[in-house]
Amino acid sequence: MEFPELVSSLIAAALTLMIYSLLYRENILYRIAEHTFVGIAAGYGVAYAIKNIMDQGISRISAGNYWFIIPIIFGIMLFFRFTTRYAWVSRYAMAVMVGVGTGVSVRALIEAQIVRQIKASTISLYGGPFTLIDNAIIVIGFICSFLYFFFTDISAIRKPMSYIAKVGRYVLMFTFGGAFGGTVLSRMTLFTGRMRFLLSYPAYYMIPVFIVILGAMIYYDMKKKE
Amino acid sequence: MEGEVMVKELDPRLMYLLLFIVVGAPLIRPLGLPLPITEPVLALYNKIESLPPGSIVLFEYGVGAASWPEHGPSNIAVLKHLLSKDVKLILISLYTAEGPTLFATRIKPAIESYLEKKTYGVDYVDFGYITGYETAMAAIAENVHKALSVDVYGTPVEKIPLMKNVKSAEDIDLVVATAYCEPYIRQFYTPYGVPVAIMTWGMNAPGYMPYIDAGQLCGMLAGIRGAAEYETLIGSPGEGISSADALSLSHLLVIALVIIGNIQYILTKERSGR
Repeated sequence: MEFPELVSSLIAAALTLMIYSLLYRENILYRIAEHTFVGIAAGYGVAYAIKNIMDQGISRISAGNYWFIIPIIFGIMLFFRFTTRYAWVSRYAMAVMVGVGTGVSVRALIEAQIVRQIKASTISLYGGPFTLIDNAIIVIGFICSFLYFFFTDISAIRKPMSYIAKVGRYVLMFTFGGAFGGTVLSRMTLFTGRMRFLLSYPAYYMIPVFIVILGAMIYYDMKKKE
Repeated sequence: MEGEVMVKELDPRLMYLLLFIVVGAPLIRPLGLPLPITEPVLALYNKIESLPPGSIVLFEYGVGAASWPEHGPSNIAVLKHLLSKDVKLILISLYTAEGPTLFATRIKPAIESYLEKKTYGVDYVDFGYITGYETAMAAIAENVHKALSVDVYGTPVEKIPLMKNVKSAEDIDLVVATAYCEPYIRQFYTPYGVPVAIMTWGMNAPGYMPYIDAGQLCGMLAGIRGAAEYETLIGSPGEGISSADALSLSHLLVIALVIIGNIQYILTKERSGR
């Protein structure tokens, strides 16, 4: 391992452990690491934004594609939001951004996320006992959870609708449970990734240093309590 | 509740310590727990295996530093598989500006031996980070040459041999993307019928299953678990397999804490009721 790589790995390990020190309590090491991260992330973002303007805008204008001046003007207009008097100018640029973004998404949204999902829920209940159970759960779950959001109160069907809505609520709760489980899985993956890094060479050299610092913090807190 | 320790009253720091031990121990000494291959992972493997020689694959490596453990190993595993086949790769980052940095520092060294056998510009090309996300996708799908004017080295797209016959999404045979699948389904699958596969976070997997069932996704790798399964399929162990045991044990710990917490909650409720 070359020297710059060695130093960068040790810095990364130190910053990781400084962030994890929050698990004990709020402290200056955590704040230093947090502020370093925010600063670097902002700097990286700005540098990449400038690179993008150069690559996608300025270079094309230099090549004779003068209509690329228009999005650059819109970009400059966004900065007017920092003035109270001319903040309204930025709204036009924002309106174009939101309009284009929504238009691009919506053009295939109905087919991709509504029609195809309804089609996928139109399934046969025949094909063996397991297929019957699987597909019945999908069909009943889909209908009940969909009808849970049916808010019109019709007295003639109030009672059956209340039962359907109840089943729908359980289906939704199962779904949220699955989503929560997935979120925990994701967070554990991120933690496992960091642990894997911390236990690799040369990052593990920072662990004893961190344990000493943590021990000092615990000792200081105990003394303070006394 | 004398003599009993309530999970809900337990100092969270003890749980964190327990988690450090449970995750750290199998990383030092792997247990080799069984790892069954799930259908969405197998589907992507089979899809890549069935690609005819010379197929064009758009590979989006939008891996961020924070999401590396979730997306990084998946990206490496799928790229290894793609590079071992006779397919042409268009590399791009749409999800995050961090993609090119992570690609250069983490992904490229891991696939170096595969890249050595390929020729840049003929077998693969890298366009780096393109801003705009879904609007950029729409532009690429409609007119590749207009949306991607130069590659990361500043070579005009017209001068790249691989790109000569790639004019729009209709010329692309497969899209393998990182992070969210919906924009790719909207911009590539629905209007042009290009098969889309996704390498996503573990937490997104339940929400993306309907897209698999509807045939809108041709495969999915969810988090490090998906990467571990893919590494098993291609026979190239990496970060995924080495982290699988730690991940499984951490899940068991969470499940155990949830069960103990619920039992104690019910017992407390019963006792206070009496």
